[in-house]
Amino acid sequence: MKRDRIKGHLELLLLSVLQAGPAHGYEVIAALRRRSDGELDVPEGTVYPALHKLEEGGLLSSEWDAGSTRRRRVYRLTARGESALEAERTAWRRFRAGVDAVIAGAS
Amino acid sequence: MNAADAPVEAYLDALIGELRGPAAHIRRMLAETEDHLRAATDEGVAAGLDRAAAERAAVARFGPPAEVARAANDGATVRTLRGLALPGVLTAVRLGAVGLVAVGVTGLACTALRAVAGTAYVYAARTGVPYPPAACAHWRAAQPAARTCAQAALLESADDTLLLRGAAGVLGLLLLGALAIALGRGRGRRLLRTLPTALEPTIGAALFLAAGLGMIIFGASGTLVTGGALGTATGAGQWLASGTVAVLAALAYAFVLLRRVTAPLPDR
Repeated sequence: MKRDRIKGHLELLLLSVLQAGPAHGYEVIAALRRRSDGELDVPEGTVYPALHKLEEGGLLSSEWDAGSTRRRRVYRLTARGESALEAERTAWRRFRAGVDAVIAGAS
Repeated sequence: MNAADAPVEAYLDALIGELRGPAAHIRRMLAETEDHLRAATDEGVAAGLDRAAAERAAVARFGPPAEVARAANDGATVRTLRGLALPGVLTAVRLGAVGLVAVGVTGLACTALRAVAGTAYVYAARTGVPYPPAACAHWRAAQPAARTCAQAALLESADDTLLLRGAAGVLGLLLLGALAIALGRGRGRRLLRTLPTALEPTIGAALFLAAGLGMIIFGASGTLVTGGALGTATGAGQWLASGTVAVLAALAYAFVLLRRVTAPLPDR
């Protein structure tokens, strides 16, 4: 999928991945690629600023992983993030239904 | 070392040059980037690539440093301002508190100068304009030892100056004490280190010097300032004494500034 198309939905995608449980950035990106069958291809480095932005907005929390030999930060969904995810999902489904309806009518 | 020898190291060097914002944000972004690139390299090596090729692949997937930094720098200005707001306010409050203490000291300096040069030199008497009868009555009631209205006005002005400036000084000391307790030695002190260590003494020295020289020049000009509803006057001695205190405060700040710029860097 074209990167520009992903950009506006990256936050929804990240929240969805983290709903499965806490994960560090590398795991989040791997899950994103795995769950989309490689369709969602973003520059991996841009995922971290998106995670930081979600944390600043209170939708994620994070802490350094004390159990890791590497210096990695583990992100988890907050209660506010759960609510935001549900709202974003609903909005996305409505949007998708609208686009589907238009595309189907044109063909 | 170059990008061909160690692509991950070269990438981190390029990225750090592009990142903006508070140091903690830059450190975190770099730490996470390095962890990611090392993990991706290990995965590439496990899949059969040699290390250099695995590093190149990891770096390519991560995205150009400028693009990653652009995403990371989004909101850097807001982050920086947010990070500086509290230390800035605390520094301003501390400078203000020192200013209040200095005002208190000027009250003492005026009293000392009065003992040497006389009350009229420090507090001055209005000339050419009669005092309002109501004000006269007030001063004479407050200063029964005064023989004339002008003398009562002078004594009252002297008492008021010492009292009000003394109150300002006590308020300044209380503020400084509260700040010392609130900031302590741990997190609060680190918070203030967010700002350049030379900033506070530089501002303090500049402000006190400007105020001090201004007051000394004004006092030396012999201008009388008449003000307030009661029509009291401020004598040259008051400006000279206050200006001297301000210049001494500026020198104290300059001394602190000199020590800070010549001291070895503290452990952060």
